[in-house]
Amino acid sequence: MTTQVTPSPKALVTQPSEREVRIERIFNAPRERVWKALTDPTLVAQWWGRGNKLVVERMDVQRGGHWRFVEHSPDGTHGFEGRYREVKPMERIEQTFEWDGTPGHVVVETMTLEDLGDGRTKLVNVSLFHTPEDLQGMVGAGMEQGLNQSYAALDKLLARPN
Amino acid sequence: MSIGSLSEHFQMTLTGFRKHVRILEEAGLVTTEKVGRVRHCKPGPKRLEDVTKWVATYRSLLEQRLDHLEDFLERTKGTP
Repeated sequence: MTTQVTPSPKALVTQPSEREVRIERIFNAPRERVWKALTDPTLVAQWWGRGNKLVVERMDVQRGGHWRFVEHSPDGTHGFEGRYREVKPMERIEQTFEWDGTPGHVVVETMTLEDLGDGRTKLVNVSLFHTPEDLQGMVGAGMEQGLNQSYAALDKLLARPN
Repeated sequence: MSIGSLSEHFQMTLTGFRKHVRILEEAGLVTTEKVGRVRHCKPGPKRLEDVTKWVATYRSLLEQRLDHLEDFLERTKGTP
């Protein structure tokens, strides 16, 4: 698979392989605040749900700790969960990510924070999918369900003759 | 179909919608063409059945979360 690069003023997205998605973002906030926003349940509840209501059911930020978030979006309720594989304060979080719609299909997400020294912080998120076959499984199991409703609707619209 | 008229079917801002279209275009799911001042959108070479679909969806979700994290950091500026 070829590498896709999307430069924009604040984001850089690459797909280094068919198993990985890498997203780089620069936030205009010191590293301590970014770290807190990622690890404090009351703060996570204020942004992780993408504007939807989010219930943080569990969030035990330490190696082996369990996290479970439930997002209440207009198209339904979606549970996400995983475990923290590594937590290095202010620097790095490695965690597993699963969506209830495709149980057992695990993505490993690694987030690293870099203090840019000018009050800004660079966040790099690398998401590693298990195998391409696993991706296929997720697609098969998940597409008809709510999470991807928007894309399906878009596909339908686009397929209409003009 | 123009991006503007497509966006009316989704609960998101035009700017947000353009971002999604860009991701879908990179994934080959749609192609866009500018006619005059209006950008039109049509199905791309890849179909949604493709594995790319999940990656594009996952990516879009992740980017939306990071957008919201950014907004959150902006609006809570000055707090410890």
